[in-house]
Amino acid sequence: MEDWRIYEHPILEFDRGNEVTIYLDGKPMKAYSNETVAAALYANGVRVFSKSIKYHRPRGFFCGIGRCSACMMEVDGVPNVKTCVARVRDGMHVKMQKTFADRLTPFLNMMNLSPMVYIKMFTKPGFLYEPAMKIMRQFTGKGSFPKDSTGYNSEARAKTQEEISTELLIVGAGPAGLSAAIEAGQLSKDVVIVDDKDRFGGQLIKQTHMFFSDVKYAAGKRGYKLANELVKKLSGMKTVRAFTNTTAVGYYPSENIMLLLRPDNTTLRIRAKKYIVSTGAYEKTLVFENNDLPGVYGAGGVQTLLNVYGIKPGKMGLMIGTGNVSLIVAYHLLQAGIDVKAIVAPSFRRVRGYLVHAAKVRRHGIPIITRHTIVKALGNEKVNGAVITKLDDGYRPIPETERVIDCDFICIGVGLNPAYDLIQLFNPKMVFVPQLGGFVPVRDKQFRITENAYVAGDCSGIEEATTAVLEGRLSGLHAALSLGYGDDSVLQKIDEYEWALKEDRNSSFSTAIRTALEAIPVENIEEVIMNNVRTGS
Amino acid sequence: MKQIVCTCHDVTKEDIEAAIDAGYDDIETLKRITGVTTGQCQGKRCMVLTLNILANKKSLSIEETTKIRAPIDPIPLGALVTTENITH
Repeated sequence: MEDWRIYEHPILEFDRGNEVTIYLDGKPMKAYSNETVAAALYANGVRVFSKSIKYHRPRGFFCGIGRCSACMMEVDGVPNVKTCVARVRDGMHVKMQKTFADRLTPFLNMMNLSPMVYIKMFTKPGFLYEPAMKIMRQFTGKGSFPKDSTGYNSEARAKTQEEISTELLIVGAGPAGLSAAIEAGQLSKDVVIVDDKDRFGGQLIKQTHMFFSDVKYAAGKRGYKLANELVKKLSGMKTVRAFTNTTAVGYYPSENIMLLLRPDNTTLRIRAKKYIVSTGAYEKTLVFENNDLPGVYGAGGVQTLLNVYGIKPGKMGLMIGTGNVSLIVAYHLLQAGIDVKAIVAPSFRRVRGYLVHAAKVRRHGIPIITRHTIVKALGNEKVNGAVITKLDDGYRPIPETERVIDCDFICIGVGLNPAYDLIQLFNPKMVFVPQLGGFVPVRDKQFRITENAYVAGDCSGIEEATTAVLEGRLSGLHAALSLGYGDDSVLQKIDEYEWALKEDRNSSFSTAIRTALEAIPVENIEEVIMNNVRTGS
Repeated sequence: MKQIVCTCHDVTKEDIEAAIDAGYDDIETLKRITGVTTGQCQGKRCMVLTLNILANKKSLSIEETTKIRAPIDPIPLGALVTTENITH
């Protein structure tokens, strides 16, 4: 079986851990203890991880950070495990979740029912609906119930009532969250930081390029080194309690409680005086034919595979989008010895990312095809090509300009969406700002979105890791101030960081972001909260 | 050949457009009739795509999103059950 792992890399050394064996549907596979299940399967050449719920289409790795649902499998008897975030264990049994209707995939695809049919089917006469649904449900679904109640033993259940109190809870331990925890932890006596991954650092851990801008804060460092530094600083602090593998699943404003899920399937409830949400972002997707085929990945997912686990996503890639993420990932692919066929972008004139990055990939001979977009991915079980087409001035495809590009994976790097889910549970006022990635909360100069919540980093608007660090520091300081800590030196620090943040945003390429950001902050968040309550939104 | 918008519930672009044509033309009713944004990922992949389709079709700007409710990530039902409520 082909091994897709990278053993020689110009910059990175991969700490894979011990060799272990996992079983996919009974078949043994080589894995390493630091790999996730999805990474290990991918390294062994497995591309199809699941079948979709209705049309039973093959699905595979996509986001790599536990944000989509494409990689859910049955692991040791537990159904619907997100394999891209679950670590391997020696002797682990992984199973693809199958229903008997999976065999009908080609037929179901061919049938192509008219869209509204399945909604209206059997609704008249009414008595047919129930029995018809019963039969139809046999054809759908993901996974089956576990045979025993493993993971729900009494010991675990006893802990479900656990509730802890703290002064400040920070959700998300990326650059923003970690920076906030470090700043707030120096002032406050009790800070809790949680993250749903098994290690802190957020998406920094897969950034191998150097950041630029002000050297004093984060710039000139490679992302994963910055993450290590922040984590090291944090681990030395006695005032900060850190929880990895702990997912925030909800905030209940009426009771002021955050509900979290721990890896042993117990819940944890945290009641805090103040909250900082720094949940980051997730990738945008595109709509084109076969956009769910295994081999169509988010650019960030590819970056995770490449730089965190050292696994080749394929042999020939096609990149969609010319933002910084796409350009950087294209370069990372080259570093790993993977052919990048082209970078395709709908924009007309220039690339959206920094010119430094664009020049770097051009020097290596990757063509940047502007005014084009992808219309179709080719292949049955996995990608084996892509069709791109030229666009006219109104971004409409021009007929008969289609051409096929040979590739075995497609990276979608068309930007990020702020992860606003948790933010919205605090009931702030939300606005849609395309320059910032999508829905962002209205905040004041102190990064406050409601009376007890603050935001920092990409979840409040897509920017860079360097600005996330500064935003995190500022929100951490402001939260600590509002808790009654700090003195004049804190105000000085705030001035310093605010100035650095301004400088960072002053670089010519973020004019759009700057203008959009300046339009958002409001002086008086109380007024916004009041209005929000009044309109009931 | 399908253009999937919601990968969790296999909702295609045609499904959404047909539903909008049938009069389900705001995100709250659209998600109830098609199931879009209500899968395991809770709209992380499809929310903005759906809003885009809606905005394009109705020539509107994106202003409103649907209300987000907890849990925002999948959680086993067993985790929510307390000791007192379990009887074997």
